Parts: sequence; C-alpha cells; structure tokens
Amino acid sequence: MAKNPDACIRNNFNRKIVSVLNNIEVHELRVNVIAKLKNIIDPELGVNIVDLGLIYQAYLKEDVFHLVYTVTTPGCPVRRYIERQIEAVLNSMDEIRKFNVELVLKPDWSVNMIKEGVEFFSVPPPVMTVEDIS
Amino acid sequence: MKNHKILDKLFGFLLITAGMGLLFGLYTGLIYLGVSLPDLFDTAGAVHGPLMINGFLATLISLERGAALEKNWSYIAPLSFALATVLLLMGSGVPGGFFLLLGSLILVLIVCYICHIQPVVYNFIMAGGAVALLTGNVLFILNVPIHELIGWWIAFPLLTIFGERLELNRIMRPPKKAQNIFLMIIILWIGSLVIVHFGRFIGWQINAVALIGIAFWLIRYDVARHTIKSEKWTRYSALCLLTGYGWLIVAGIMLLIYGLPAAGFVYDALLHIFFIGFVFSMIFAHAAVILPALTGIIVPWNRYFYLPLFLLHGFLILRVSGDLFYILDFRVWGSYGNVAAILLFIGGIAGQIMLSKRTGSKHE
Repeated sequence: MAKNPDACIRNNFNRKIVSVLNNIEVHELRVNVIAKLKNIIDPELGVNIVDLGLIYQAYLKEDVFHLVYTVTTPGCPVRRYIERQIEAVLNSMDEIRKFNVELVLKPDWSVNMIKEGVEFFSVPPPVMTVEDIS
Repeated sequence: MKNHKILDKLFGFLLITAGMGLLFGLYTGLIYLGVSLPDLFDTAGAVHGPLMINGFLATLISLERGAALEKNWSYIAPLSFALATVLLLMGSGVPGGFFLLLGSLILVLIVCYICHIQPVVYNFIMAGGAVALLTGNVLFILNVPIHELIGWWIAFPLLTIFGERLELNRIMRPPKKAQNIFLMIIILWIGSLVIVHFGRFIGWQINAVALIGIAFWLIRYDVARHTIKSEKWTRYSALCLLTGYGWLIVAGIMLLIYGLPAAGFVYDALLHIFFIGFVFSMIFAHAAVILPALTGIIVPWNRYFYLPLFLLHGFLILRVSGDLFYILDFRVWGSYGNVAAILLFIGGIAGQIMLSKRTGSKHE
C-alpha cells in the first residue's frame, strides 16, 4: 500500500529510504513498529495487541513492510478497528514507504499467546483514536 | 487503503436502520400498552415483538458478524432484516416474511462459515443462536402463535451472548471441566426449547434450571467480577453484565414457579426480564466497543451513562412488580421508564459523539 504522497514529499529530506537500510536499521525499524503497535489497545480486553499476541509477523521485503496479524476469533467484530489502527501506525512512520497489512486466521489465536503477567483492562476501552497514535 | 470509508457508510446506514427498528419497536410497544399514539402503520402494536427481534436485534447482530467476516455476501443478512422491517411496518407480510427468512438463512451461513474456520465450542453456541432465530422466524411465517415460538426468539440473543462471553472469558482460563459443564447446561437449555413444544410446563421448568445454572456459571467465570473494580467504560460494562446475569436468575426462578404462560402479566414480566433486563443490559455494556468497531466512531466516556442504566433496571423492577402484584399502573409506568432509559442511552451516545467532535476532545 503506497503512503500518502503529501506526507512522503514533506518528509523526503530527512527520511531514509527503506531499500538502503542495513540489517541493523531493519531491526531497529521492526522494534520501532512493535513499540508503536503497543499503543493499540484491543477494546474488548483492554490490552495492547502486541502483548495480546495478535501480531504474528513484522518484516521488510523488497521495500514493503509486511505486518501479519490475527484476531482472537474469526467472528471478532473489532477486527476492522484494529486493522485501521495498525494502518495508521504504519502510515505515520517516515521510515516506511510502502506497507501491507494482512489478517490471518491460522494458526488460531489462543490465550497461551498472551504475554505473561499482562494486566487486562489496564486501559479502559476505547480511548484512543487514529490521531492519538499517529 | 482498503474501502474503509465505503464500509463505514454502509455500516453506519445499517446501524441507523437497526436504530429505526428499535425506535419503531418501542413505539409499537407503547401502542400495545394502550398509549394513545397515532398508529402510523395500522399494526395495532402487533409487530412490537417481531420488530424488536428482527428489526433491531437481528439487524444489529448480523451486522456485527458480517463486519467481522468482511465478505460481500455477509452484508445481505442485515440488509434483508432492514428491508423486512420496512415491509412488516407497511403490512406487507409475505415479502416481509421472505426477507426475514433470507436474512436468517444468511446469518446461519455466516456462523457456519465462522465455525468452519474455527470449530470451537463458543462458535457453535453462537451458531445455535442463529439457528434459533431461523427456527423462530420459520414458525412466525407459518403463523404459529408468538407464545409457541417465543423461546426460539429468546434463544437467539441469549445464545449469541453466551457464546461471546465464553469466548471472551478464555482470558480467565476456566478449567476444562467448567467449560464442559457450561456446554452441557447450554445443550440442556436448547433441548428444553424443543421439549416446550411437547410439554410446555415441564419444558420451561427444565429451561429454568438450566438458565439458573448458566447465570451462576457466568457470574463465577466472567471477567466482569474483576473489571467491576476498574473505571469508566470497563467498570460500566461489568456492572451491566453482572446485573444482566442477575436478571437471568430472576427469570429462572419465575419460570420454575410459573412456567411461561401463553399470555398475561407473568408472560409480560418474563419476556421483558429477558429482553430488557438481560439483552439491553448487554447492549449497554457493549455499545462503547461495537460502535467504534463498526464505524470507527469513538464514544467518549461520561458518568451520565449510569443514569439510563439505573433507570432501565429500576423501571424494570417496577414493571415486574406491577406484573406480579397485578398493579397495572406500575406495569405501565415501568414500561414508560424502560422506553425512556433506552432513549436516554441512545441520546447520550449521540450527544457524546457530537460533543467530542465539536470540542475535539477524544476522551474524558
């Protein structure tokens, strides 16, 4: 998915082009993305989607940042909400020129994927908007 | 970018349609109670039940499921229920019935598809809810009296909610044995709805025992017991859930004593315990999650929302007291209060959204 062209032009001078990132920078990019995704709260459980174990993969391939995520169940009504928040995060990052957000339903999410010691509903739902995160 | 804006508009439109189903349902309910309102659709309040079940709940629940799947065919379900609502209001029974059937069938397909992706207990229970709606609507179209089919209409939102709560409460890690017990009670509860067609009183007695069991299970294992100590929407939602479970126990006790009569005061009390005390309590609990999920619109928290919640339960107590002690005024004022509580809740949601857009504030 191509980013907003205006934002790209605006940040053209100080932005590193993804294609010339070295391995360390790619690692840093992934760490940054994951850190930002921790601001997205699943409104049904009040836990961020990273600690909840919903992010399956985050990687860079041929200048495109791929983010593979899941939801707690195929009938989960907050799926669109989460996807939009993820897109907003990736769109807000200057280091990412193109991205692809993909929902997968296999393997099934389970409570065993939740980070140990997570406190549920530490963030009352839903208090964040796309603008807050970006 | 995905077609979020188009879907937002479609879902917004369908939500408004469900809201219209609710408003017309409440309006016809008041006419049914004998309030001197213009009978705009010449239905004499007869469509109050079908409107609340299909026009409102089925539209809303099928929209929620359809939005989760994001398959174009899945939107046929809420659209069909919306269309059926209009046709029923206009008195077009046959085409209205066709769209009721179509919507119910597509909803069954949606839940079967979900079960196919993830064949687990909570999805099967939610699927049971959709099948219950289809059963109820088939009987309705066949002109079976409402009191004969009402069990299936009750089962639709209840099974949907039971499945959702079981799914969400996985985080509480209930023991496998407890989950199996829950499934057994649910099967018994569904089985009792079939028995009702052969032995009405014994059927509802079995139903009552299972219902009380389900309520106690939910109180024991629902995360709401913990989140009641939280704040804002989370605390509010927990309060709605626990009071809803409390009403299930009341319904169970009343069913044990009286069964479900074919009409009359106890019949009125029981139906409204199910639909107001439990279902609307659940709707109040989930509104702050469902709205942003469907439309991307955030509902900022405000303590005001406790007002409609207390009115909802307070006036339901009044209404049920009126039904049990044959005090007509209590029953009538209780139902006015319930309508007011629901309208105040909807008004509060709309007001908070408008206020936040005007002031630019995202939350309290």
